[in-house]
Amino acid sequence: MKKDNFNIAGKLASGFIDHPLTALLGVFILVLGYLTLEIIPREENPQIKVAGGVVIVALPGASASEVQKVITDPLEKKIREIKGVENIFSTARDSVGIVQVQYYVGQDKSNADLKLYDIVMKNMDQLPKNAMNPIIKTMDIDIDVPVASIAFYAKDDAISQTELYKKINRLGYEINRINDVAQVALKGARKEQFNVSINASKLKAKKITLGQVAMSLKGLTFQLPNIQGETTSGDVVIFGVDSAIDSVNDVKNILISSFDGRAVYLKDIAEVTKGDDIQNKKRSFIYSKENNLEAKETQQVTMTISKLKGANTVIVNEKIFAYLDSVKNKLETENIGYIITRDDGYTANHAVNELVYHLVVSIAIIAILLVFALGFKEAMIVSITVPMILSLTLFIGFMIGETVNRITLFALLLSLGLLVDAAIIVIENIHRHMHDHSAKDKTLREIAIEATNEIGNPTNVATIAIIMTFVPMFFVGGMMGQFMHPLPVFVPIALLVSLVIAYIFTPYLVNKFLKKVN
Amino acid sequence: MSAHKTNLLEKLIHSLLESSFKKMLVYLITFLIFAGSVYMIPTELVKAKMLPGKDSNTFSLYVDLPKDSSVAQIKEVTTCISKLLMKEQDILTSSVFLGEGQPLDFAGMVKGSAMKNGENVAEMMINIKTSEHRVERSYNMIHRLRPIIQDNCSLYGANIKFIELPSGPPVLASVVAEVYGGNSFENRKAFAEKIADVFKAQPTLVDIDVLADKKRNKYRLVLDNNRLLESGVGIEQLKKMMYMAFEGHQIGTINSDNAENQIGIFVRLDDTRILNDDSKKAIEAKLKTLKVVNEMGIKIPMSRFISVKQSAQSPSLTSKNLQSVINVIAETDMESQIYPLLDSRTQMKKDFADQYEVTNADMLNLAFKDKTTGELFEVKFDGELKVTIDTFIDLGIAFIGALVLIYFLMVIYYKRFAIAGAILVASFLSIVGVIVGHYVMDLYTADTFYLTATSLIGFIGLIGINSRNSLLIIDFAVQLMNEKGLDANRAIAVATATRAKPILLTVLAIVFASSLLASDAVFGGLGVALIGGTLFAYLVSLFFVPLAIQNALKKIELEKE
Repeated sequence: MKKDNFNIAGKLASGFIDHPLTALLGVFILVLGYLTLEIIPREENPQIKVAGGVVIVALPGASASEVQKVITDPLEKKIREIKGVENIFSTARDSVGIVQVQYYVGQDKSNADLKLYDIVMKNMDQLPKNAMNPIIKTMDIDIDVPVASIAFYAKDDAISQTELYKKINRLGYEINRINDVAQVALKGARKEQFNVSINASKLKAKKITLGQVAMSLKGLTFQLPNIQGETTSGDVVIFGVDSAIDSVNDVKNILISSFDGRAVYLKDIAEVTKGDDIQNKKRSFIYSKENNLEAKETQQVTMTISKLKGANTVIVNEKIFAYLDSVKNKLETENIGYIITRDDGYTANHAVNELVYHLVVSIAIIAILLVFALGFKEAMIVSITVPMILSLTLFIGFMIGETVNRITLFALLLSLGLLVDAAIIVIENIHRHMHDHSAKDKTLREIAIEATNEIGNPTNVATIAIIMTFVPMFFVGGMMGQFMHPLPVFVPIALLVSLVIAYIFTPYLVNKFLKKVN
Repeated sequence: MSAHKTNLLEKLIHSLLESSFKKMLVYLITFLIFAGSVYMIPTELVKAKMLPGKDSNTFSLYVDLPKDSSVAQIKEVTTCISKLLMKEQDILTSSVFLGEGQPLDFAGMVKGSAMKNGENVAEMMINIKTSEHRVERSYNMIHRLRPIIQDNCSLYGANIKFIELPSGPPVLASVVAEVYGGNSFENRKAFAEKIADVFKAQPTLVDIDVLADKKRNKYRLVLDNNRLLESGVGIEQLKKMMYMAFEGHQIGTINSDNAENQIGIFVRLDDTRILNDDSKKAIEAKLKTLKVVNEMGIKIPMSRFISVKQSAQSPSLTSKNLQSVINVIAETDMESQIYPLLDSRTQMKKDFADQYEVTNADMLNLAFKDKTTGELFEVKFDGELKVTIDTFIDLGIAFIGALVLIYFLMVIYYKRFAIAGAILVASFLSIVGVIVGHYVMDLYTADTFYLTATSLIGFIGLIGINSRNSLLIIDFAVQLMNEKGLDANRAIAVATATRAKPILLTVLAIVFASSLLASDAVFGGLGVALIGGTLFAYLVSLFFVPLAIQNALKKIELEKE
């Protein structure tokens, strides 16, 4: 048979069968795959493009139905003008209106955010009088959903909650410096504050009103920027008014007024403490097991850490926890303990590793099956092509910006059963031809190429058929469509790659390792 | 040995092709098997669900108290829950966040976790041992703990919800009934409560909640503007002082070098501000003790300018796409959301028939008209059910798209409609294997094994895989006819028998590759679909495909002559 008569399969087979670089290409593909698996971002779930936001408008003093009439309803109407908005949810409460906007899944986030800002800003003039400036919060999955959370607590209440906050806030800045860390935030933090609890009866006795107390405190804490004075010689002298309040005693000794000719200080009418922000009703606790399943309650501060889009969760979290480990002793001496309460890196890594393990086991099972069906060497040839196919597929996926997640690996597992097929069919046909009577006078090389060529067309068409079944899946809409998106991407790639690998390497390896039996 | 087998199969297929009675018999058996397996779906022998539950190392609890509850009350509830949870061997820690949401996760994103604020809400993040260190799956644990926790800790009217990380895209809740219509908020809410009662009667629906405020008292302080003007007291001053007295006010801040934040000075009354009880008198008594100063420096008690009136706090008004709505939400307990929802829908039609005229709106939605007042209500079902229906419809369209594409491909390749049609029918028959596979799997697993979206994806993939089997046989048969001059029947028989081995090998490869998938909670459906589908497709390739292509190949034979 002339080379011109070969189809793609035959051409590839004959082109590579004697080529010195074929083996090298094989090794190169395997190394490429290994490197890709190491550096490709790992996630548990595929990234879903969700855009949305919240607009909050406060209208102090208005009742819920008023808010609905003058704030949420008009706002909803305006927001409906935006293209791509799927649902608008609004809540009108006393004094405040909240409008939540949900775009269709898959809308470009920055564009959607811009449109929301635009529409609200454009209609600022239509807001009722007394309404405060609208607050617009856009949703950002990457920033909003933390990949790690750590609960910090004071051991045996050795340090105060505000002290804990101070230390952890500092630590937060350090962690923020780590590469690819996007946002570090604290939940349950207690901030330092001077609390002035005024005793109403003492106030009465000293004939002072709350207003007077407020006035004198306000005046003292009013702060000015530094003053630049000029001297006659044209120099600049800088002087600033000192607030003169540093400690609890300073606050206690603030002069409020005079009564019966005697000065009344703040401490005379109120209890002043330096504590935490008592008006903040948010609290957080962590319960762990003491011994014998007894619950131990500790007040805590939870640090949440999110990563930048596209960063590898596994690596980011490893760095964060490595850093924490390095300061563990220091925290220990400061009587601060911590418990890791979320580690998406572990979850992602665990899910990915488990599925990779499944892949390896599946390959081994198929290899054993083939040993019985085709013989040892043939089985080994097919088994070698599998990691090559997966390597190349992963690499292509990486190049087009995909990540490794549950669905990706699920796509690979799904293709696994399909992609060995091409190799099996090729090798089975070579095998059959070898034992055929007509093959007596032919060399192994010729048989390999011819058998590959013979099977080429139906295999090509069949593979195209399978690829085609996955194409319509591209158009599945909604969150589910986004969620499944790696399937129609990876299965077709894997199948195309499997064809190329089957046509190039199967005949090559057959020619190298098998012997013709007569 | 293998040569002998091949001959047997070849003989069998050849005899099938020669006898029209045997052909009819094969067609009949095929049809019966097909009809029988499809019948398993409406009879609920095989149940459908979007995605099965997923085992994870964490779950959450959302605790909601009535709006007028305090931090102390919700703390008591969460402490109660935490203490019970800590008795569990597999539970490690419970992080409690009072007055705000937990660190946002995949589930909380659409459940409004980030928007939570107020003394009456709390979220708990529960960490359990990693999967290799525990036997019980997380969803089974939740199923077991839910009644214990809810029976013991539902203090102060607490609503406790168990939130699992979803295995697919997150939704507001498994079952959401949006209640529209009604002439007022109260009517709408009363109707929503009725819907909630129907849900509560369903044994597999749990964590039911009507997302609407309960009625509560509010005292309005009415200012006497004339008196204020006469006595020269600033209105603004009065309002500010009242706020400072009861709520407190951060009057100023101090910048300090060794603090992480600006240190505020927070002023309010001490414990004397606390009211004796929830009554008008208590407020009036407190107002008497507070004084304001007028322009002349005279101190006047606040109560002089203020009269207290009792009224109702207006509830939060929620709307979706400009229509006022109240959501009733529920979670499913170890069950697909489809069946309890369909049951409650039937129940609604039955229960409400006395008072309302019930009509079917589009999709599963219902419309109600009050027989006496003519008031209109509408119930729309959303949540996971809607996602499920949308996904199944989309996948159905994808499936039809795949069929059409393959048909065209085959027509292009063979230039014959009959062959393309035969390939398509043969591929479609693999649905039998998919359904039966799920039925068999359900018999062997402890939890219900659902037909899921991943099963459908597997089925779509199967169409392609199975057409390859047919392709290999047809191609070889045509080749045998052309090159070796065999007659059509013989060529088909030889081709089928010869390709039986590689086809079986690829089938086994798929079966073994998918067997690990079948044990996975989420992708099990796909694994089982592939295993059942390809195994059945193997039988189809051997006995159905040869018959289906016979006429077309005979035509080719005739054309040659």
